[in-house]
Amino acid sequence: MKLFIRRLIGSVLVFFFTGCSIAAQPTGLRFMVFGDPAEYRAYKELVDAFRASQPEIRIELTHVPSASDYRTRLATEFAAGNPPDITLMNYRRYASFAAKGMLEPLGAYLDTSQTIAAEDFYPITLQAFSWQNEVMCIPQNISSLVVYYNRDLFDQAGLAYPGDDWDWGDFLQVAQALTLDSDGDGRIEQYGLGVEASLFRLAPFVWQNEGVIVNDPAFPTRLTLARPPSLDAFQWFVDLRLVHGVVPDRVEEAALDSESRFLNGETAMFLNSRRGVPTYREITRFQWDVAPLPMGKVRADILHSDAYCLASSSENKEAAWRFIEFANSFEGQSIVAKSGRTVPSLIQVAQSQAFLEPGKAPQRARVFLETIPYLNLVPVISTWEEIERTASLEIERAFYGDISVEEAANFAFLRTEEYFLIGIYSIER
Amino acid sequence: MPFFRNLRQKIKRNSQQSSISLILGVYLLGVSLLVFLPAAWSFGLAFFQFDGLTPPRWNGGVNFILAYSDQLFSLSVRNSLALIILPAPVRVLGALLAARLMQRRGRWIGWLRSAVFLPSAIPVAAMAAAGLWIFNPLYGPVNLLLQQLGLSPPAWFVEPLWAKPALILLSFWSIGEGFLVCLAALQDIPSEIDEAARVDGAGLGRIFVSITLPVVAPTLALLAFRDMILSFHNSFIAIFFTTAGGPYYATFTVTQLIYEQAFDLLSFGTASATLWALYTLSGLLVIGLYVIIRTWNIGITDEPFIL
Repeated sequence: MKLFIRRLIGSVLVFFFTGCSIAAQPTGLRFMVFGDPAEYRAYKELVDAFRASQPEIRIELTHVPSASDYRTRLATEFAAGNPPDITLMNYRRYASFAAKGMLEPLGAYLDTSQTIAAEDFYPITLQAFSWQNEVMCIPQNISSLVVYYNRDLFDQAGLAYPGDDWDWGDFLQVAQALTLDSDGDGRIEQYGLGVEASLFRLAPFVWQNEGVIVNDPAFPTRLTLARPPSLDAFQWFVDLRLVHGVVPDRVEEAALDSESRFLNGETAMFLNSRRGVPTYREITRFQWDVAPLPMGKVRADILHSDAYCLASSSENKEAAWRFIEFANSFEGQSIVAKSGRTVPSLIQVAQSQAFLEPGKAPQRARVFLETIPYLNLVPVISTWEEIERTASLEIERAFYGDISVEEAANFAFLRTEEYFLIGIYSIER
Repeated sequence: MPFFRNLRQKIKRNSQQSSISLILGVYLLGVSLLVFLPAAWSFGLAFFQFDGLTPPRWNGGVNFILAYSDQLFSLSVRNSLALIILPAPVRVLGALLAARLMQRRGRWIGWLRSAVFLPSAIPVAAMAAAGLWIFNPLYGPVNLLLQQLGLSPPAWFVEPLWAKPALILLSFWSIGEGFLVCLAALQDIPSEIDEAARVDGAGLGRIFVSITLPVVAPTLALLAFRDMILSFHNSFIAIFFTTAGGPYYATFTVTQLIYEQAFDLLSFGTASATLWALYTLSGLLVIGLYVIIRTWNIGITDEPFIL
């Protein structure tokens, strides 16, 4: 009996350990991305092109649909000790990994590369991914927040398309003209505007009003939405919903979100970054285009950028770098740019036909390039994700009229203070 | 294969008792490796600062202070109690009523019983996705129906006041198991008792309250406690998919707090400290369950217990 049990335990353990060693065998590179099915296809194409050019390297693409689940998934994989070799990360999210030494700094790789050089990139993108004075990840894009608009709805209303220099007043006027209760039943069938009630969407409007979202861009210690210029912009943003009603209310937004409404042709304008393009290109029922954000006291916009990061625990860094290098070469960035997904971070690709593609929506793709001089960054702190999420909950409450903007600004400050305290900054203090 | 020959001889030679222990021994080994060890590990983590990335560092009881002083902690405990402890008896009572209605044999009864039970076989994630549609404030069938009836329906998952009731209603989807157990319990009541009561002039309601309920009460209590313990852990998926803890923390439960501490903040220490609270609550429920079993001798037969 004892002998049997000993054998049984032995065989279980043997099975256990051989199982482990099989799993631990190198299986080639793993590359993880997030995004809609249309975005996924772009990266699939990129990976296929890489396989064709360097068939000796095995690489496998993993895809997570939602950007917010993405970080949790990544954190879990890093904690489990088996993260993907290469991951695509937003500059608002990579800091929590960089702060823990989970990422391999890529500055030295970039400096010695024969294919790409730091000068080829728009400087602000490398700045966003510089962690303690070293380039940590290689940025793929330099997107901004723009106004996607349904051209057919503008035509039907007899409105001129948004100009390059429209301001808050014009914006509101257009949004009001496009908010329609066409059958007069008291319920609005078509909204002028769709926008997420979040800190990331509010921030560019605060900057346009010469306000700030944090007290010190280099070493922020608190949110500053309560300061007068910031608060005025916040109030203006909230009034879009509460006073002017050009944005769906909470129930309508929950029943059918604004992006779906835009895709259905029921919302005239939708605020989003370049990321929406691959999906919007599948729209067949109407024509659409992009316009710059309307101007406040000054012109300002917000950087949206993702980068290829290399896990410091990767066992195959050389091969992984070759993929990152390929993805950010003229050829690699052109492939993803053609899908519509990116505003390329390589200046040369951004100004090429691969990005500007005449004949394909959005026709005014140059809007993205013209916005570049006005881009601002949110702070790069390891706890920024939590700060944004917590503040956005309060902003949302104000947006839907549960609390005043003063209260929301104050709650957002109080509830995020701790995250500034425990956060690790991109520059040593 | 000397190993298997050996095994066959052993089994033949030993009494039935020891071969049962053998089978259960394997189970015990599995449970130890897959449940007890990880549980002990995560219990221990409460005393360490651990981000899953760098080695754990001892920090005494700080995690408990951090976890229990968090405003979200007491809120999430209250929400857990409201969303899990309170609905369980209602759910069990619903299962009993359904079972009572479908107790008799009839033409369509098999189909009806299947209809009550089948939803329990649907994965929670699918159920939650369906729930989002069913309770959609503008386009969902529930609200369209209520509107047809001339009512002005709530926005369910979107309103702080109605998000909890919506989740509780959604959880009725999975009363199938309880339904089966209730059905079995009801079949156990001798039909003579029912008939005698009817002869004495008792109505259906009277019979249900004075005879059926008292007889099946121990089973119901057992079911209710089991339901609570299970849904403490299982409700996470349904909530995460439908309200994600919102609107503004109205359905934010302890399990979600643990999830966010561990996988968003990578603070496994405080997550583990919070887990202690969850286990304490579950533990209290298990004690309640044990008391019920002992008091009414449910499930304890004359046969000797193996473990």
